[in-house]
Amino acid sequence: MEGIRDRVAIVGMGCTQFGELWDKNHRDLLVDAAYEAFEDAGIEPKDIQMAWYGSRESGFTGAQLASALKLEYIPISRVENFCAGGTDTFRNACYGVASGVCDIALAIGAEKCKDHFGGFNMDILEPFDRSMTEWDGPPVNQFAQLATRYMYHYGWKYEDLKRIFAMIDVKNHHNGTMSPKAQFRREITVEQAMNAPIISYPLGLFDACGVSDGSAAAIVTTPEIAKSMRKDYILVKALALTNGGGQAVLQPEYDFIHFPEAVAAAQHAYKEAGITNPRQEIDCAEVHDCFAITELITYEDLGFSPRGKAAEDVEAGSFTLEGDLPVNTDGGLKCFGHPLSASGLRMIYEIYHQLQGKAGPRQLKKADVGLVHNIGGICGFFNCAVAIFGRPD
Amino acid sequence: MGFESFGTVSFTAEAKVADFVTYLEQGKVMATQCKNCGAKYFPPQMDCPRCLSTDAEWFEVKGSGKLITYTTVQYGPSGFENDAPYTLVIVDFADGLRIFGRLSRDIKESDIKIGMDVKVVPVKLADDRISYEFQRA
Repeated sequence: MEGIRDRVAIVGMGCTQFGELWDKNHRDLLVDAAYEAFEDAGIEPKDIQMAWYGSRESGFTGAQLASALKLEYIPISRVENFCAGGTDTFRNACYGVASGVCDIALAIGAEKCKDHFGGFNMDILEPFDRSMTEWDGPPVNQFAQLATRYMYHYGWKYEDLKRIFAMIDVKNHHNGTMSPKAQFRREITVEQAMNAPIISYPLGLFDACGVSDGSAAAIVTTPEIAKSMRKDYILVKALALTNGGGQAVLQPEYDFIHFPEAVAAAQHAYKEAGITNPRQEIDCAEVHDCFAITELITYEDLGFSPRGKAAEDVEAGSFTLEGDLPVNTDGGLKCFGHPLSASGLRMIYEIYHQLQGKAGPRQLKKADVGLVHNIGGICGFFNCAVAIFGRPD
Repeated sequence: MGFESFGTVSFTAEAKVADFVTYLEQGKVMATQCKNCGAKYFPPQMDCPRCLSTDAEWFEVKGSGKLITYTTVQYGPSGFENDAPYTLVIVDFADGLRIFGRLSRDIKESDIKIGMDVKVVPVKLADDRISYEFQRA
């Protein structure tokens, strides 16, 4: 089996402002993200041969994208994979190019979360039996149960673990101040985060990401064609996707302190990319910080920190812009909000610019290998995407 | 007869395990056990995800279990707005049976401890609705 490594290149990307975009509809967002990507790649809409379009809340069928961009009579698939939808949309476009059936493909995700369903649509999943849906609360309840168990398992006092959460929140808010397209662009303090109202114990207001509208897009092609288009194209090194089988809450061996779907996705991605020591070999990462506990556990699931030791790395500043493995350099979901199918592509947009050396005031000194991670769902029922990117030699 | 009268919000009427509600009205919280491989399930399931058998039987959840994690919800989702705050818990019983649900309001948040012993009992809600909750064992 041949993997995806070095078989697909990104030659253009676009990303809209994220936030409460009352003056933009879903199609406006698609146009804005796509045309930035077209301009970046130096191509016209007519050059797109196939497209993959990610949306959960805001648009159904490929025709939504066809009409917004006037991409008539080319194949467009709509992709929905909850929080991993953006990265999965990208993954499908890459496979289209790698298969040889098209030379240039568009991956684009867009959501209007703010004026659909009054915010974040919670027509709850059906994991076990719909009659039992009282447990299937919004994501914050799902992730909060991991926070409570993590606290107990490693013997944390509430105040001490809240301080670790707050340090993650403060880091991401700081990075967000340097991201012009972020929803939230202001500093917060550890005390503010620790003392904010609780949403779902032990997670408070600043331990949660925002809800926003947004869109992001990527143009992918073969490395051979990419070379003729620009010098600073970015190579796809790995694309992993996992889905849980819906058993974790039922299975007594599940420990509520890790995400098995993320561990499996990371292992697949590292193997495909040829990475044996992620902490050493990865220079920057965009991880799914829907809640502070998710980012904390993800450090461990991705092998950035040993099990139970992620907090030590947070305290050491390892994941700040000045640390040895900066995470969520653009401010993450914390500052961009989480328009589901746009988030993964927004994260790839940041890694793309870091690897090109075009991340402005957030630019890292060393950014040769970058990782994107998304996870969503409920316990035992998560889906997780991990993608790895590198520069051409 | 199905799940029409179950919980604050009932998301479906039909289910293979609709007898769960009938048992609740009789004062019993029931789970299922696969007749083929012996796996126990809550929420009850008539189809076994472990061995793929479709032959299961009911048994009553008795005794106490240990609380393994919880969250106290301050903002309820659609349909649950008026219920908040409430506490959701996950509880391990003997023989690999894990159950989730709400904790009784009789237990103060400051008294909730991981590892505490709780039992599961049917409860009547407003408007003739029925559910179950965990109470101190």
